[in-house]
Amino acid sequence: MEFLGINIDKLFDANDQSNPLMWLVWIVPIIIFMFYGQRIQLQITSSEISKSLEKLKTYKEETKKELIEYIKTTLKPSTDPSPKIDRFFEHFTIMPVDMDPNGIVQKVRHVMRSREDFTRLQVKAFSPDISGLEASKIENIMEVANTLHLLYKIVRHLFLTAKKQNNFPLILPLQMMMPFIMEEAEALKTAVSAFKQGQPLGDGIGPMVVGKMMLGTEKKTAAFETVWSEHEYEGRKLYLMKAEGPAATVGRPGDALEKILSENQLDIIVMVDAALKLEGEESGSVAQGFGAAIGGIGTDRFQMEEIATKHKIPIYAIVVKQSIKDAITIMKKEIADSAEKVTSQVYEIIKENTKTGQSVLVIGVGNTLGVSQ
Amino acid sequence: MIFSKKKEIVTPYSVEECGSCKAISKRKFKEGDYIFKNTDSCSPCKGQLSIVKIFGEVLKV
Repeated sequence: MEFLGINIDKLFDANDQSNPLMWLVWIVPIIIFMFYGQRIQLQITSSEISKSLEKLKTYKEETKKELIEYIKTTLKPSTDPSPKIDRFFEHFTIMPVDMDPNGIVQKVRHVMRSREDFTRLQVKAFSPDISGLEASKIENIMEVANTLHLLYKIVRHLFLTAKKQNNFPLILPLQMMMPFIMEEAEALKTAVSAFKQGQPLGDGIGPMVVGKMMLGTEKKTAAFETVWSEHEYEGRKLYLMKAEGPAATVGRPGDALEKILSENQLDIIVMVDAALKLEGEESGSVAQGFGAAIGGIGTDRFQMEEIATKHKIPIYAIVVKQSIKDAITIMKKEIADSAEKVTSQVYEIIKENTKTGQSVLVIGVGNTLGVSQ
Repeated sequence: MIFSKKKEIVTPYSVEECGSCKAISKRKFKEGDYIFKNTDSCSPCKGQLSIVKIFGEVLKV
């Protein structure tokens, strides 16, 4: 085929090794990718992260709006709560110096408790007559909204730094982490609805099991927002402990254990908690093990391990596997259905590991929102 | 689309059990419900109903 005196078929003949145009078709992209490959990849990755960042911003703003609306409708404060909420979101927590780790757990506990007390006071300031249940719900929603706010700010910082420096390797870890961050952000956003309506969370399976065992017994205060009671089972004395429901709280199981042990003799401790499942594992599957089954920042676990070690008390653990989303949103049917299985395993552990006349402490660990006792 | 994520709709339910006849009934969750809350009386035997489970059922659309 001829066009303006040029043979088109000959010009694009790939089999002709001497064709200079075909050489250019191959070599030019190679040169472009050699020098600008990272920049092109940076642009593609940036646009992906930018989309996720926008989504994260929407989640953050929607959650904040929901929180403000909830405060306005339930507490009817005399002034607009928005400025106070904005100020709360900008609060930070400085963790203690860890150059000398000796005694750091007490310091972390002190900082965290000061922060919790501050949040409690902030909520109380909206309405002094607020009930404990309502206050705990708002505290939890505030924590969720604050976490989303923090997630957005960190992701935005990493993204903008990488873009500003035109630094492709800097954006790679963010690209890898983004699906996990978004999964957590989606879970947090969904959690708000459960907190508002006071629905039990997946994390509440431990309190649900122990709460059932506590029915019909006299409940006493063991520590702040934590209750305990006594019960008999096949000649063994059972001490049952959980956070005080149906408020949205995890209580203070470390302090409660210390108090119960100061007044009673314990032979074994059984802890029931929710645990993060591995990919491929089923939600609601039950597993047994040893050691203190308790999450959080680690101060309660440290306290409980120290007490158990000092008194040589073995700790048995039963966990109900679930994803991060299952743990902080309304309890799934599979998780709720596992309660009977967990209860029978608790009694099995007690029978196998204690003799008649011995004492057992059963702890239901987790957020007890929507679960009484 | 083949790879598009299905939207999940979660409907919360409360399960009530009668303390005397052990009859179990499932109904939609109402605000104010919590586990082990005593609710109405059982219509056939007049026993005390209490909530034994609250869970969300997922529907993928």
